[in-house]
Amino acid sequence: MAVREVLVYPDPRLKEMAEDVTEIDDYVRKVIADLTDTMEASGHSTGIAATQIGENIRVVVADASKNAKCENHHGRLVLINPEIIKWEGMISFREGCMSVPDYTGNVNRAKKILLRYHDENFEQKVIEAEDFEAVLLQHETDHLEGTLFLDRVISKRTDLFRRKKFK
Amino acid sequence: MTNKNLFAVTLIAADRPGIVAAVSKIFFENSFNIEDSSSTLLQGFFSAIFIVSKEGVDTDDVKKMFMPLEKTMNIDIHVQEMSEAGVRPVGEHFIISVYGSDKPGIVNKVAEYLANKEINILDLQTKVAGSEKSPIYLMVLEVVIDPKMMGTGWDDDLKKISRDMGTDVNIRQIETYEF
Repeated sequence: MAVREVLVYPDPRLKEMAEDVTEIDDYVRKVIADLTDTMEASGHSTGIAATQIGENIRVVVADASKNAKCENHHGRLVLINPEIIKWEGMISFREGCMSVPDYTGNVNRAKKILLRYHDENFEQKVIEAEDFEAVLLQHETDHLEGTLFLDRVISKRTDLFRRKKFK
Repeated sequence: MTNKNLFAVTLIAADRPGIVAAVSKIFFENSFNIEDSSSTLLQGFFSAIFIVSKEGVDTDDVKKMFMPLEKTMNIDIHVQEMSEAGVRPVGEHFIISVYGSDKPGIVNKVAEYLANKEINILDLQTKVAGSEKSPIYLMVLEVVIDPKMMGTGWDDDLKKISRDMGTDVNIRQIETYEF
């Protein structure tokens, strides 16, 4: 169990696709423990993906309750092979990331998601997450696909003043 | 003392392809770093500000580098050495949209209020939209509210100013989270 170094872009490992977990073995348990320790050690962090500590498996640890403003949440979650199966609505956030220091950007995310995953005991679960927690889980599952919020940043200017084209 | 000098290179030119390529080529070939930049199209004019750095050059040196380009592309380029930057404002970020039928003084009334309250504007964009017969004026600002200004009613004041002008206003906080 250890606090691990969080990879920082342009580390190429942040752009890799993580692999599915097929069983909970000692390695997976160690990654879960390390993710938890690393998230807790960073103080303000509400989630971390295995990709961010250089482990190429689909595991995320998240805890939306660490954000005092977040009212609806599921507390600490260990997400194995998480997959978003439904998106609804849209919400705009300015995101930053431990792996991309000193930069924040506006990102549009689904306001509500349905997430399917396996828990620490490899039991399949489905949860509905909303608002801050939904954004957090979308951000973290993106890491497993090698996607950073930089891939989703929208320009303020074009966003505000884009002309709609009508036929 | 560092020799790294900061320059603001600004240009406004009738829009066409190749402006950024031509300007950035000069920066690249003369080993400048582009530290920060912002460019957009304003009424058909490409308007750009580049903050660049390079050691051991002065304003005249930089101006000379752009002389050939000014002739070949007929672009006016302004070079200015940057003195010390201001203090970076700290606080909560808000987006303020003010919009309505076009009338004089919308920008000024809002900006003067913000100035009197010492509220810092980070970003400002304005546009005239709508039809020629009934133009709509849009202004979108991003401001930083000092923690001690929070809850002092600055937002209500702005709503009143907007109501008096006959415009609509929307104020929303930008939430930033590092994940």
